[in-house]
Amino acid sequence: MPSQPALLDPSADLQQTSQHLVVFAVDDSPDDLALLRYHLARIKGFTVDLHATTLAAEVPRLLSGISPDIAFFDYQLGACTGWELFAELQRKGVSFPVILLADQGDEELAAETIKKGFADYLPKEVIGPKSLKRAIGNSLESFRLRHALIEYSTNLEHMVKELRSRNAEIQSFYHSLSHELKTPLTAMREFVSIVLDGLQGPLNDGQRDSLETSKAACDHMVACINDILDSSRLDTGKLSLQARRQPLAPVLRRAVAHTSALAAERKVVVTCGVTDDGLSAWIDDQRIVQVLNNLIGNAIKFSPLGARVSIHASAATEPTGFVRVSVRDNGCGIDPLEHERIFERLHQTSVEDAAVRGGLGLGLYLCRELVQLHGGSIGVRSEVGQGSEFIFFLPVNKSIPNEKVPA
Amino acid sequence: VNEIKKILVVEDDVDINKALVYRLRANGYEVSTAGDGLIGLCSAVREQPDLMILDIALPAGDGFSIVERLRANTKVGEIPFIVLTASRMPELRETALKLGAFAYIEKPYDGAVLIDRVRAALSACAAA
Repeated sequence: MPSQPALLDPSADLQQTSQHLVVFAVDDSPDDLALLRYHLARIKGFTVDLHATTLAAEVPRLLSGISPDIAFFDYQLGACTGWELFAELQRKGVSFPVILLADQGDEELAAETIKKGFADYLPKEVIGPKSLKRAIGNSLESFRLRHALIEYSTNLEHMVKELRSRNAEIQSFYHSLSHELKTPLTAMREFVSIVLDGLQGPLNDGQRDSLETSKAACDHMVACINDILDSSRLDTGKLSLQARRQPLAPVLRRAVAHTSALAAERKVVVTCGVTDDGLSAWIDDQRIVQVLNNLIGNAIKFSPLGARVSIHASAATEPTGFVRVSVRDNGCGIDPLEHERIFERLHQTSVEDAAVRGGLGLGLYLCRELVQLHGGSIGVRSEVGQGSEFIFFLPVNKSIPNEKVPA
Repeated sequence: VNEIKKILVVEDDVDINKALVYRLRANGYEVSTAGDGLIGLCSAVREQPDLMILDIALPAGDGFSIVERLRANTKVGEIPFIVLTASRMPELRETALKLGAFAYIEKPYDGAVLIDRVRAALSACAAA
């Protein structure tokens, strides 16, 4: 990065301290150069160290020995134009602002000059200490800002690149993590099942209960691993659906069966009702089972012992083209202020809650994301102490982006 | 007469391998195992099992390559197979089914579901 050019201090006049400025100038007219030197010397507030030449060919050699804060190029340099000289320096990387001096004012020339990257344009007829001071001040400031901007955007680019590669690394780490954790879990769960299934002899009730608990714990751990993996795949847009139009009733029944052990443990009765057995939707059945497992699991966890959880599916009345699925409990309910936030990633209703009820805070986030991937929407109706009803809508046919989705 | 069916398990994790052998033998099947893709392929050619249970991520050739290389070998007829994997990628399921897998089972698997799929695969084969 080029060194920061000296800044014109606007209060220099008042403080009576002078700022030092290294100025470089090229003009084929020695008289014009002398005039420039004269005016520069008369600018209040700073002292100028002027390096000047009348020969464009001399410029590279002269510049190798100094680092100017600012430069003035005459437009007509004899052998070439100020534009051409600037273009050549730009290829080598100019690290200071350049002001173009023209014999007379010309708006078109001025506009083109600025477009080419010059800091400013000054007709020679208006040159004086004041106009020079203003042009130098503006040029230094805009040069500084432009460089700061370039630096910021370069840093930003680096950061984005870094984050992308970090993200890919994390993604692949999650993948290996999931594989590495699932492999021993598979063996653990299956050996427990082998004993539990009586393949190694009969069991008493106590042994059976212990092993059932152990197996359920394995299942819980698998669900956590899958949630983490899914959430990381959502981040990278790698979670895709394998959707097709299919009946909803079997999907609901599968979810109820999945959560039956938890329901039995909490003595919660789960009922499932579908208005029409032919009711179908455009869904990835595995993903919708996952959504339902989460919602039903939550409903059971947050319900008192012996409570009732009901699942219901019907064709949505408004708007048409969607099915409406609801999971209702008469548990502790959710404060309306929390209704939006519960779907956020890593949200837990309270610290105490996280400790008591467990969970990674990914469940409802995944529900929302998975339903949205289908082109549907999800929401909750609840009051504290009044139970909760989670409602989601799924498209009957392959969803078209931007289609109106019920809120 | 009900002949005892032979099942080849190709799985690199020794514990899962052991569990599969236990579960399958308990259900009356004859089981042989391989711990990598190459040994799996050789065993399949030599033993001509009635069914293969294949892991996907394996050293020395993944589960899919075993199926593909068996197909290229005209001396060995079509051997039905079930894919058993820890991966959760839907693309993998798609590939497995396209390649003709009878079933795609995610790890951790449920023993009852596995046996059910094994039975279904073998009887579908016998009927064909």
